[in-house]
Amino acid sequence: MRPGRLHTLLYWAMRGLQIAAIFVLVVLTAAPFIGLDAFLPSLEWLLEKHGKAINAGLAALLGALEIFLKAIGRPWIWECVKGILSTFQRDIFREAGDGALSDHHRVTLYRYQTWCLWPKGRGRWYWPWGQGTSGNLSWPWSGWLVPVVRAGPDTAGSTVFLCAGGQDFDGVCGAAYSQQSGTLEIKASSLPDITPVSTSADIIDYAKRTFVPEGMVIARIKANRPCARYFLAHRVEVQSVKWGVLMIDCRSEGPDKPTVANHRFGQIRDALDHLLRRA
Amino acid sequence: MAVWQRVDTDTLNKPRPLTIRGVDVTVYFGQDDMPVGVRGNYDEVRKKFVIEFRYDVADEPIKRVPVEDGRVELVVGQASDRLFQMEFDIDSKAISSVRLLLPRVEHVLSDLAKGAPKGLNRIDNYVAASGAFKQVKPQLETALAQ
Repeated sequence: MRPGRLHTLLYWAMRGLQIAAIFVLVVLTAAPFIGLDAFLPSLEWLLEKHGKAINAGLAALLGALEIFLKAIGRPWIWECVKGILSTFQRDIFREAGDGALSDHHRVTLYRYQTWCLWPKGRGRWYWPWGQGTSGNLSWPWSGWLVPVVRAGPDTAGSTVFLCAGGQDFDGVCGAAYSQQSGTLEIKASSLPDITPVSTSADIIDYAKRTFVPEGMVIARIKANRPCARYFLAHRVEVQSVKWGVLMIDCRSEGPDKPTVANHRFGQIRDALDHLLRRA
Repeated sequence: MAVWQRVDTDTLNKPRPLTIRGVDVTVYFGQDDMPVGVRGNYDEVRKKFVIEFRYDVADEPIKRVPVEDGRVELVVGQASDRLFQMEFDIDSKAISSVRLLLPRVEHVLSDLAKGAPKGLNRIDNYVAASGAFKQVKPQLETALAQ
């Protein structure tokens, strides 16, 4: 589940339900010893008739809630990660003004996951996983890079990239995840500037050079969303195992120097490792 | 215990061209692939010369991989395959032995960088380790001669 308000609300609702279930379990277990059943005759009847089933049901509910909470992760961790990435974004894009940071100078953390049930904006309604740029049909279990946190206030990435292994991947982050090299850069000088009046040749060239389907570029143009001209992708490891990719992209020439971004990434990498292993 | 020879990672991490699916991109070593320190020690008890690589990463469990018909043993990360140590069988700490050994270390590292043995999958780290070793070789030689 993506971090956000819904995630926080769901987390605390489930945590509340868990505390309530523990309270009920404790009260029901202690009722005969503290004489509570004497005050509530119906409770005595209920415990006699269905005591074992109620206890088993509550224990199962507690187990299921714990698994669910572990799966969606703790909201405070994602808030910390977002804070770290926002500082990182301000550090590497010092020349950009506040307003330009959000959609023109982005820092997005993608997590690799084998399964993705609904990769938004990829295929048609009857086959939402679509095809990879290699032409192969994609499957829910193909392997995906899903955006989990984006730096800056009120922004969230939504594009999911295929990462099926070998040369079967989409996007610069898919390329970075599939390669041995820890950092991959595509410079602005090698990419055409995509605007609403760009020619189809430019769109095809841009799509090829950024490893995405042409349809994805056309959809961005139609939605009046900018197409980045500079990409820098860092592999993210958690406990020495590949976890995902930290993607830096912008409309301008890129950070002052990639080495600056590499140094800054080196500084936040350890903190990300410690946080993400608990997420 | 010998001191760590510091690696200049800025010099080591030069941009390198790579072609992926017909597209030219630039790649760099990952921050976790570049050794920040190298040192060499002679283990008198085990009669082994040990070259160690230090990284800015958290510790991880290790595994041992014999190469060159078992005459050299690599100590790599269990999950990451990152190169932490190389152990060479050597009878004495004599300067002549060490002088002969350093080119051998370089040779094993370049072999690793060209193609890792079966079961190891971290070529970029081996290339970085090879570059780091070449960078600090003169200092290592001086340190070992003392």
